[in-house]
Amino acid sequence: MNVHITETRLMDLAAGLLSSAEQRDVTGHVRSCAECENRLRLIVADRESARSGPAPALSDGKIQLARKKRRPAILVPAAIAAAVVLVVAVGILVVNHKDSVPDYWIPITGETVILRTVDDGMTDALRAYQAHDAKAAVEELRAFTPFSDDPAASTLRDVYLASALVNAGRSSEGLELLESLTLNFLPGQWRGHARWVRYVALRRTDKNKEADEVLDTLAEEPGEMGDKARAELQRLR
Amino acid sequence: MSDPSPIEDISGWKWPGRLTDLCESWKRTTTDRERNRLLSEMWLLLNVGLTYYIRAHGKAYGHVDPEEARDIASEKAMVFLHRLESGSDPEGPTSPARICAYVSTLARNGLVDTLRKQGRKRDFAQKFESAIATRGSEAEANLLQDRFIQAICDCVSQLSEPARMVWFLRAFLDMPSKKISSHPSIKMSAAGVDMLLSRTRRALGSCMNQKGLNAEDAPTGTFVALWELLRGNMSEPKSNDDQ
Repeated sequence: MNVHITETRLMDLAAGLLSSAEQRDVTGHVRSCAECENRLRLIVADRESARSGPAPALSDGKIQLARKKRRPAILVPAAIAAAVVLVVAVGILVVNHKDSVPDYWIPITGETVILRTVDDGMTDALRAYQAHDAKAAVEELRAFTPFSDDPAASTLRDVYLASALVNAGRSSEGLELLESLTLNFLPGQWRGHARWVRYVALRRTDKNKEADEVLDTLAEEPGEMGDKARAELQRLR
Repeated sequence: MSDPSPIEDISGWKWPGRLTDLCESWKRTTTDRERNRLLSEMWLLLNVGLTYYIRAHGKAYGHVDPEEARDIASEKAMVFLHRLESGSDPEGPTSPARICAYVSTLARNGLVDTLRKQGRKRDFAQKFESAIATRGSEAEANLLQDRFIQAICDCVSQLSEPARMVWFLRAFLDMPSKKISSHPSIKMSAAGVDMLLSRTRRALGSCMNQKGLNAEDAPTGTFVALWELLRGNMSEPKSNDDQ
């Protein structure tokens, strides 16, 4: 007869409270028992769920349920990098001639990192882009083929590639590439970056009427890209 | 079902003993750092313990879904901790039996309040057993089991750490993207989780297909094998040999 492992024994296993020998016995049974495995799954889910939610901590000497600080490992450097890019971009905006639109390098943020997590191809492909080496970035991004049936990844690769093309002085090619993309596959912030790259490309290919339209639209929007567009309008006045 | 009643012999249960030790340590400790460390461990034990009792009481009072049970557990775990903090414990030293009785009472009260708020009637038909639907004993006889588990572990090992964690938390623990995004070993936005999940599923599907298997056909034992593979990234439970 197959005697199931008790719920509390499984809780002890999940909490790491069993000895090595006990662990072996319990997991040995669970491996071949669908019911026990499902119960362990539920317990592990409870535990990981508790870890994911707000956690108690002492604040001013009292136990309070504090929301965890999110994404410190990725966001802080990404935010610093984005801030540096913004400061540099604004600085360049100030010193540049009115008609020359400065290069725009899409920040490599935590969101971009997710593209590097399944395979390493994107890491290499973005290395030159991150170093602002436009020509090398074009080659590397062209050589990188994401999973063929993943529209979000390939679209994002193409947005970076279009940006690299524009910054390499090949604005027409960049523009052509951008206009072939369906940006709806991307989260909002990427669509914003892509529209700014398109604006730069339009300006550099002397399609000023279209560029003005894109800029006006962007300037009406809130957020980083809206701020950027409004600053650009100020510059052009 | 193995543990039929919340009121039962708790000898052999380790988590109440561990919780008792942590409560006693809390009373002796004065530094915030050490107290925060104790809080982290108590928090996990309490949440899992409370959820266990909520499910157990659910047999009599009415079923709540796993997410509701976790919400109740989280609320009542704070009640437990605040009582510990206030030192308002007139009944003498803490013991595993008293801890269990108190946790059980908190769970029952939380469950009854929730059911009352929801205006639910007793639901004897939907037992706890339904929450843990079995996958069928025929899986145990699946000749492909070892091959499948070896293959999935191999494919999962090829993924990056965030990818395998995100996939495991969703595929096996049914955690929503928002919750996964705030898991301490993930730390990315919910949109990022969705995107990574989509890519990971494709990568795993492709890897398993190359091995002539379907990633969706996980037999019994798959969860345990993957949990053992990934547990270092989760709660980091260790062997208790040295305790």
